Amino acid sequence: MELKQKLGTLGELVELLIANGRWWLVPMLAILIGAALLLMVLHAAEYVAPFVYSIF
Amino acid sequence: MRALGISAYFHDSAAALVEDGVIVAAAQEERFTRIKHDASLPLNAVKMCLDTAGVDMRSIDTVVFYEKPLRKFERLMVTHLREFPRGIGQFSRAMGTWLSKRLWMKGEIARELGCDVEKIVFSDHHLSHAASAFLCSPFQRAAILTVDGVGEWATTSIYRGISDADGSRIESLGELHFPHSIGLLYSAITAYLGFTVNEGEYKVMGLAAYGKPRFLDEFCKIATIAEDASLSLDPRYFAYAWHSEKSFTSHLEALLGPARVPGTAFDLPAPEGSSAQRWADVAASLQAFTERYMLVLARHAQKLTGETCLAMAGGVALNSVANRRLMDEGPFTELFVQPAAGDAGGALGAALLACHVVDKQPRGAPMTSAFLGEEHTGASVRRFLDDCRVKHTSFADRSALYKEVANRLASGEIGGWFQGRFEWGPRALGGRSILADPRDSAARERVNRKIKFREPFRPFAPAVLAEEHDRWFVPVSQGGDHTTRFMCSVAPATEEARLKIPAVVHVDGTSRVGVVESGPLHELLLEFRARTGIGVLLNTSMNLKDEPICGSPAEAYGTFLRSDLDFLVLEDCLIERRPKWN
Repeated sequence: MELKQKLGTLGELVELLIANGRWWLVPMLAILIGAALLLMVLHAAEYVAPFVYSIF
Repeated sequence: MRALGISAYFHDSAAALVEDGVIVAAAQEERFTRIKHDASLPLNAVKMCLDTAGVDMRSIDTVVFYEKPLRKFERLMVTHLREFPRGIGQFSRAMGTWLSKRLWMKGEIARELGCDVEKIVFSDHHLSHAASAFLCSPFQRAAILTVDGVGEWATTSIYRGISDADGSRIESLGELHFPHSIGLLYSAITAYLGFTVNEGEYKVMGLAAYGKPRFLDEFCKIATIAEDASLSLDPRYFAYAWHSEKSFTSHLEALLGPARVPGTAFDLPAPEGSSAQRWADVAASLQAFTERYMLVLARHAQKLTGETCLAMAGGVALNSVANRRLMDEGPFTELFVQPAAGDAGGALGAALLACHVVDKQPRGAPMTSAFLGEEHTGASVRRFLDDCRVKHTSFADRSALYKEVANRLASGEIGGWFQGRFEWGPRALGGRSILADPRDSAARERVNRKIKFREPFRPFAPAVLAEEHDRWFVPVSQGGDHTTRFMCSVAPATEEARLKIPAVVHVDGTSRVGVVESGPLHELLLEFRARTGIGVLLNTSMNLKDEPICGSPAEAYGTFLRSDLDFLVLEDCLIERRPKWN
């Protein structure tokens, strides 16, 4: 539900940028969101770390 | 229809509840959290609004946020790209905040308030301001000016408001966009003068009275006013677009001289050639430039709309000196300024917009009272005092209380005054006030240095009986004045006022008048007049330096304990300061 809502917000933002003739900001937005997701994954890595040792 | 308006996440978060067009309650979050200009989601203010109406979130039809966060995010991205690589640090920080939290505020609001996400809608920042001004005003038709730092993109907007049998309409007629902003210019110079932005602008206005506008030509280099009332700021002088800490550049210091280091003492009046006098002159020049711009803007708005009445909101609408000039020299015959004209007021505007513009509900009576905050009854106050074992005198007969307080004030004592619901907006209007005798200049010194602990150059305002206004202060030369009820304009003091009530007359011979028409403060003023022949009291907000105005009896009592107040009135209870041991 929350993910759906966030995707809805992102959709609205992309629509707004295109409607205002600022479509060229969309790639920048994608990079920013990607970077934010990567940071989230890296942050989550500390929880995975103890299991990595036992696997290898 | 019940509409809940919310402003948050920037500064001065607030909530307002409007029920079938009637304002039920409105308050800033800072009054509950005790954090000055608190920007957090106003959960306490929302709870107070719901409790006052006796409803819960399920009964709310719509929750209106006062601005559009996505448009604001767009501005941030565009601005930082324009300035790249300058401000890369600020960009990273801003993106961190936005991508982790603010972009998804709809979900957070729904979760924290416990409401359906479908009920949450977003208004436009300046449209919310415009609604807060026009829909609270006594006008059925009016030009509307909203002037502040920046909303989404707009910094200044002109609207026309019309209310008739078909509901209300607010038509946009033009707007000025970031970074060109009279509000941001005022804030940048506030920072240059060593005061905190969004807090020290009042101080700059007070300081201006001590200076001469000898830097006006320099200000005309910094900012250009065009014939169509647009303002253009020279970006070389400003850093607010790319720097989060500093809002001006070294070019500004080269033009106006070195900036004041925050905390440097002011001794005013200062000798010619001193730094303090130069800072006062810079403040005076800024104030003069702002007034000049507001007059040009008002004339342009009048030409565009053809209206005779003006409603104003936005932080710049709280510039009481400029408001008086608008009334005396501007093209409009009547002026209304909503008491919470800053961003907090956006919450009220957003809720009113939903009721009157979207839902087409007819308008009710205009706003004549700003007492929209939390109420503490006499019984709850007595319970608090008994629980804390505070020695007090309870007055069953209110008129006896007013007589006692008037006697004390007339004999030179300074007291706290806590009555009814607290005020909406930054001004104390007799709900949470500190009162003193205006005849004694020493009282001003004492309130500044021992009670409020604030800068000695800041003036104090008078609360005056409505029927005595013209005796003490020069009325506006034309039309109706709807600003003095909420202390939103100054007035020149009469000769008699300068002689008899010097404590409430500023160094430039003006006072920010609060006209009192009814209520406990009116009764007290009548008693004070019966003893002194003067229906005026020195009135300042009940708080210490850098604290929000008190909301509850506990906070008022805390202020009393930490200051040099002689007595405190909590509803019908009088608390005296115990004599100190020598």
